[in-house]
Amino acid sequence: MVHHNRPNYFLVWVCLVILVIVSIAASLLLPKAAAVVLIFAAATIKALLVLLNFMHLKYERPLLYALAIVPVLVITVLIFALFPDFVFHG
Amino acid sequence: MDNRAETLTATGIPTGKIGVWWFLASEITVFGGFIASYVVVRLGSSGWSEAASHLNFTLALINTFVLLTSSLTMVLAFAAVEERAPKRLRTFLCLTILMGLIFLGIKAFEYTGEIVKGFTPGAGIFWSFYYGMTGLHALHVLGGIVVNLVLLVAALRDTLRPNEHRVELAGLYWHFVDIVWIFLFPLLYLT
Repeated sequence: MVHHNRPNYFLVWVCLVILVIVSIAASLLLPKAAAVVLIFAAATIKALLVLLNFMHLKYERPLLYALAIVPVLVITVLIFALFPDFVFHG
Repeated sequence: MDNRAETLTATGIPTGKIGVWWFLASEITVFGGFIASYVVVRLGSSGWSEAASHLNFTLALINTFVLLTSSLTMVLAFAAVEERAPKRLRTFLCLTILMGLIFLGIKAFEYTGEIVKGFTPGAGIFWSFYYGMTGLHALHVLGGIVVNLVLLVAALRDTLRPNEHRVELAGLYWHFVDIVWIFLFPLLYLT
């Protein structure tokens, strides 16, 4: 098994916990629209922290990035393709 | 030693790892499809925040911390494999399984409270999505627990050594299930 310099896993966990607290504070203190933006920004950062550190994506080859990114793009396209139909159609 | 899952493919990535990532790619579309339709349907109708306010936020928050911490113990189990520390590997696998079980226990308790109040999967579109998404996620947690149990039994019998890379592969799946919860929690409980 190949050895790499590994991240400080505990520190990553601390960051994740802080981000949970930030999103809860946002939901309690901020106006709705700002809170939603901040909450989902925090969720995205948390997902990236897990992907890059716990799932070691930052040590992997580009091909694995492709495997992870392509389905996310498909889902994003799906949301935007369906969006007008639901929102403007009632 | 013949160990096909660790054989490098033409891509330079071990076969087992590329297989798990392919599987996760398909899982992204499963949960992503669910989440995409939830977002679109929710934006196109009203009354969802009211329904969501009946959820037990405290239990979900505890579960969020439980699952985040289980990801830490899972990655520490992998670190124990890398550092050739079999005792530590067993401890962290045990802790990960335990936290998975705590997560499911809390989730079951939460479901019971909601069903008692009459919020069954048929109580409205929000509840259908809620039970669908969290139920599918809970099944994934259960699946991860089974995989980790198999690894733990092998570790206890000292037969894991030739297949130690499986701890990393199981970890990839476990962290993915954690990421799904990272999005489900704000989607259902915080907005």
